[in-house]
Amino acid sequence: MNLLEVRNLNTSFHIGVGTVQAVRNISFHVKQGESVGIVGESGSGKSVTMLSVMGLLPEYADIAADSILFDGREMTKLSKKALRAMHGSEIGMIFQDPMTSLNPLFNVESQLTEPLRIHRHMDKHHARQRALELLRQVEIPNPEARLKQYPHELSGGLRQRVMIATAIACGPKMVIADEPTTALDVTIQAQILDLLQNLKKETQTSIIMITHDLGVIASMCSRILVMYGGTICEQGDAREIFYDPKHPYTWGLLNSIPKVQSRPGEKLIPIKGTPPDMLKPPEGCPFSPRCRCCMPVCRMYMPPTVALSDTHSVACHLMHPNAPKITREG
Amino acid sequence: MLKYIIKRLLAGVLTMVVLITVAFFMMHAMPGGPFSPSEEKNVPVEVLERIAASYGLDQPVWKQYLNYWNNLLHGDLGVSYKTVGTVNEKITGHFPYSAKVGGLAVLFSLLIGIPLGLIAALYRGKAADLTTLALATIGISVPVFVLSLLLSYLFSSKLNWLPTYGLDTWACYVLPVVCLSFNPIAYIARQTRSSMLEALEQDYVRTARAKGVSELMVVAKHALKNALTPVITYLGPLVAGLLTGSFVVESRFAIPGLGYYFVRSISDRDYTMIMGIVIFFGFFVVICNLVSDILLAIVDPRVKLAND
Repeated sequence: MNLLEVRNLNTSFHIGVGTVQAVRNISFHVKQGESVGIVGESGSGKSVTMLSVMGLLPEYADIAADSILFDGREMTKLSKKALRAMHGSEIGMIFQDPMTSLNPLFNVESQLTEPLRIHRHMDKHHARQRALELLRQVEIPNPEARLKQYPHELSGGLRQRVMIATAIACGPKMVIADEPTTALDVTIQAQILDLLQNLKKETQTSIIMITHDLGVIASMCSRILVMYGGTICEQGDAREIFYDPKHPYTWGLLNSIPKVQSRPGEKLIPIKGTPPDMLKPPEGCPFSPRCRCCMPVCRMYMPPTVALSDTHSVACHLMHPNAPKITREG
Repeated sequence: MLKYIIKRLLAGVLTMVVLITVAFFMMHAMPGGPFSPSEEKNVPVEVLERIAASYGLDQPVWKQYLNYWNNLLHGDLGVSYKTVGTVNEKITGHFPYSAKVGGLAVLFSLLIGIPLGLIAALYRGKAADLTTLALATIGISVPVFVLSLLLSYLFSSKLNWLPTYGLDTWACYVLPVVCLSFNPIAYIARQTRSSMLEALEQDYVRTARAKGVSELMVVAKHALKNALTPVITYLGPLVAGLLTGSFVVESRFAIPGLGYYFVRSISDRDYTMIMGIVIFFGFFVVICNLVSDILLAIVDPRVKLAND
């Protein structure tokens, strides 16, 4: 069953010099208990997509979608109050930078118990007991002492654990993690990913993991959406994306991951060029200016999304029967 | 916390010593003196010298300085040379007037300034914001002496709504309090506006929204507490400045406060009076700054660490 189903989402920002089309006509779904990764480089629209779904973008953002169904409810039609009742209770969010995502002037207890007191109407005592439980669940040692501490007294890893504890406080159906490990050391990254994975196993929560790091996705997610220039260029099972990628951008992403078996001095292959200017996105395929397989048609028409299997679909003109057969290797 | 307060108080004592020393020698470096023949033309020179000698003013300055310290450490600020009574009496007698007007001005500044800044931030770019910004610009650029003249001309002379002088009824307080708080209101409103706008952009505000916190609480709890820290820092100098009285406002509205006497004592070369008020003001500034720093440390847990 689909927990979240987004159809034809468009998000743009009206700024002084024009309109930034951050997300263009994307559709995807997340099943109950599934973990989905959204991968793409900075500015590809991955965070904006999720913030649009949550309704957490500033007022000047223009969000239009045919439908955003969450747990059977149409979120585009919900009032602000009804949306707020879902935030933090049915959908939890974890943000990128635990340094700035916690309020520096309130202690852990105050910030951690806030969703419990708002959504579960717990009194101070019960909220505190639950907070201690949550801190234990996210493997924070000495939770009693931590409750009284302020964010600046905690390390980055601990802060992110507190963020996670806050996100799962009310037992949400879905957790959206927006680059949860980007601001952390590699060792802490691994711990946080382990933690998220354990939580998922224990609670059957759906997780949407937004990241630019395919390595993070590989360890966590069963399904992957690859975003570029505000569109989904390829989506599929982890296996399909890692072993049978079809989109040249996905090839590029995979080629830029360091491999364990690489020889010293062996260079990573970067994707040349820069991401498109979303004030004036290219008329055709957004990746066409940087694509090594670019054909004339790519510059003129947006490629249609072609389904290759039940799970795997690609938006690339190379999928056309008459297109030249090009593979990842050459 | 206690260690911090003691440390700050010791630093305050050092500040006071430097202040007293500098003020004492600068005061004596001023040409003329309380009983100089050039100013008191009707009194024979011999008499003036006798009077000066009776106050110990014939002694070398360094000796006078030591004498002053001796008296000061016994809690004696001396006798006013030009008015009747001791300096201690003058300060305790006139400070309450300044403090009453100044205290009301502090309250008024905060009660008007913070909401104004808040509204401006929440309605950024709209009419309320632009009006506040315009008012704030006027408030910062119009000097108190112009404002007090204009207001007393308009409300006292022309409209005859408010009295021009004294502190007999509540109506007497209106004009001086408004004049004193005009500038601080402008400052506080601008400060609150800009720090509020900054706070609303912060990640923790987004986190609060993602937790389902209501918009009112996002603003009133998560953002405002952060936005008010610069205002708290400003509170120390503001309270010290307003409570010790303003010469312009006190002389315009004939309020028998300390600010008025301070300026009078300087032009009178009333040495003991000058020193007494300098010490009192200095002490007040040190204490107010300490209190506002402690207040800040209570609101912002990060501050304590930075100072300990």
